[in-house]
Amino acid sequence: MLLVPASVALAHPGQHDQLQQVNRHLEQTPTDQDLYIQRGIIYSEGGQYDAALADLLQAQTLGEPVLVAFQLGVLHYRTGDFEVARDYLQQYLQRFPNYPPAYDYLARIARDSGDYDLAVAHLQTYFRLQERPNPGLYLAAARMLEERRRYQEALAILDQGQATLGVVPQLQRQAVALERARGQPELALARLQTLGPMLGESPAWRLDMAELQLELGHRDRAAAMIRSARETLAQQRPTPARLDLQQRAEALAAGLHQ
Amino acid sequence: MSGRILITALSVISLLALSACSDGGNNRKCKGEEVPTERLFLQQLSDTSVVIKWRGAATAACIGTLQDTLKVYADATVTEGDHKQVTFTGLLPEVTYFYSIGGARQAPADQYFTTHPQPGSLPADGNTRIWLIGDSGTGGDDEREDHEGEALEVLAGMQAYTARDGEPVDVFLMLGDNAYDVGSDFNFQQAVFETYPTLLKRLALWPTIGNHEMGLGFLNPTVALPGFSQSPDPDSWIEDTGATPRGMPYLDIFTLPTNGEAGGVPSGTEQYYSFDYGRVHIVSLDSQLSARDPDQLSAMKSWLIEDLSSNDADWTIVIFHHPPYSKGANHDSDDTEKLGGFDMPQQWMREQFVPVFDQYGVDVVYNGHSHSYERSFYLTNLTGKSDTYSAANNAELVDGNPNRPASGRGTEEYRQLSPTSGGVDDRVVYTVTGNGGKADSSSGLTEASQWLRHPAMIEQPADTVQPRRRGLAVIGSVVVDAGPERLRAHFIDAEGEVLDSFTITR
Ligand SMILES: [Fe+2]
Ligand SMILES: [Fe+2]
Repeated sequence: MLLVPASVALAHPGQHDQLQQVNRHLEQTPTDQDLYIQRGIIYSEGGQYDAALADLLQAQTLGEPVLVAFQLGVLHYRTGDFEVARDYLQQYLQRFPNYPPAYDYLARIARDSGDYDLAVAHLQTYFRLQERPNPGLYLAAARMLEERRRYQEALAILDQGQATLGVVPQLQRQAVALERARGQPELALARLQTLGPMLGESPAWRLDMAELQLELGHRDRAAAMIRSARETLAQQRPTPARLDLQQRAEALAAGLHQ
Repeated sequence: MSGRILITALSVISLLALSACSDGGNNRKCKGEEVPTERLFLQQLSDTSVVIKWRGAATAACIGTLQDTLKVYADATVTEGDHKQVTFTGLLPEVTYFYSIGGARQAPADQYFTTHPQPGSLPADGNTRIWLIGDSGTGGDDEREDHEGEALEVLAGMQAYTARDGEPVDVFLMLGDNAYDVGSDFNFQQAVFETYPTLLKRLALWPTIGNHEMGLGFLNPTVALPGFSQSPDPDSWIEDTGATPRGMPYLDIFTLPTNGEAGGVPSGTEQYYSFDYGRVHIVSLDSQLSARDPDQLSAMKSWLIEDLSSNDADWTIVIFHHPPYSKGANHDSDDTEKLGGFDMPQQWMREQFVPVFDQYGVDVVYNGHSHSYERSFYLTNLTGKSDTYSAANNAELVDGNPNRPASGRGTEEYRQLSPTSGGVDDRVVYTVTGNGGKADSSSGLTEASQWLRHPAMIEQPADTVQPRRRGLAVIGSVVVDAGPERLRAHFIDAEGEVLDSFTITR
């Protein structure tokens, strides 16, 4: 039996089992590059970065070094060595140009270094390669652009996400906020409208509609929305969120008569 | 990050379309023999549709309401991870359909399912019975040595319990860590498909992502099958050049709703989703991947708020893997920063999502991860560590007495509109039941004196340790019965005995 490094005792039991398995296999095939990579990943994910680095560097000597480059990139990203991380990721991409996670990490490095343009560009590559990205990644790209007040580009990314994933409230709500931020309440209203059916025209949605309609001077439509929202809320059991909505509906209704 | 998923042009056959037009473009006949499958399971079962999914040689399925004369034939689509699938739409609510694989006219006796009631309607028997198992994935080679047969014992316990009143399970939920050790395709084959084959033919399986579902990146010592690779060369995981490398078999195996296919608000991702069963709304969140990235977490949270704002079901149930409150072995929710933040999702779910559950009418939350059973009081507003808990501030009280948190049992049943909160639905019972395939026998990284003693959890009379702990270190699972007036939750051990229960009335 191989000696288990002292740090293993601290590992999460799931990790502990995995480490034991890897160690068992390393006994049989002590020069297997994959096994060193696997153990490096387990350490890296468990925050044991020195042990991870030792295993990954060892793995480099046991086969094609480039096969270890992605994990070395991830590890160096985790320890904050962005430049080293970037070099490793790029090495890996030269060999495997269609590997989306490498672009995800390149995007994080660029974002964390303040280079939003580059981060968005890497995310775009990721979106091209990944069949169904997590909606939050479109949000991440849009937020970077929004921070730089590049609303139009931010909106374009949210729309791109919805062209891929379908219209979803996580992205469309952000787009509504962006339309408002850039002074386009009509477009905000049009976007919010698209969410109505999938949200079952919820009272929250109706009050948001009413607020925009009021902003655009459509008082009658707003009044009807507020009324129907209040009617629905009156029939639903009270939750803190619904009590807040009731108050909001009252405030909006009061605003109608000013 | 994760999140690749692909559903190609699906084979969708509408029964309504077929009945409207006698040959309906579907001129293939159901005839011949049943073709055996390696795995066979249902997905996205709703009041009007179902996805039948399998692995094997068969390239078609038939469906019908009469077991001996299936009439509707559909060719399957090949999907990720070497699966075949057919979607039947236009089904009628609460109708039992039989199905065959390979185009046979006769369905085997155990191949049938019943569609959900219409959203907003009560099921015919008035009750929705839900089976929840957590960390159940010990039924394969990777855990066999230590936990031989334990997942099956838990299954038998549920069956013994439900046999007493004869009411079958309507909804099957898995709380993550479904296929030890790594959620490889092979792990899933053994720990899920070969462990629950009968149930999976009859019920859709609704899972959530655990930390042992990551597939790639960890070793699969047993055998490499489609959907899993241990090679660092992504080209070796792809059959077609230019296709997306695949790392997470979970996403290949399951076909989960992204577009509100079974109710709920579209999420755009299979990593989190919701669905309806009559007047019960069920949400599956992703505490493993989405919770670890701030932008993905915030997207999931804003989706959840929209989903819950649009929901007016009698009962709302939320599942995810990492418990916001637990003093289970190794997964102390007060000690989340250890090991590079391995258990940070416990804290993030508590800080970010508990307020949403309180405010938007969630009734019960189920998690796994700790391999034991813990069940909370009827809580509100507890986003801190265990030392910030007080019965007076966080628990439903008996007659307003700050020293008497209500148990949810007997005369202390909870009410959905909490009297302690002045008649508002702002409370949630949290249950950890990561003991569907193994139970911890020691405290592990959790301080021994703290093990199963989270103060927001209720003391368990069935515990064998003195003083009694607020948890049970035995294997078992949860059965929830959600009716029009009450929701009753029971923890069932491997013998089918009820060791804990609580009731919420409405
Ligand atoms: Fe687990
Ligand atoms: Fe877990």
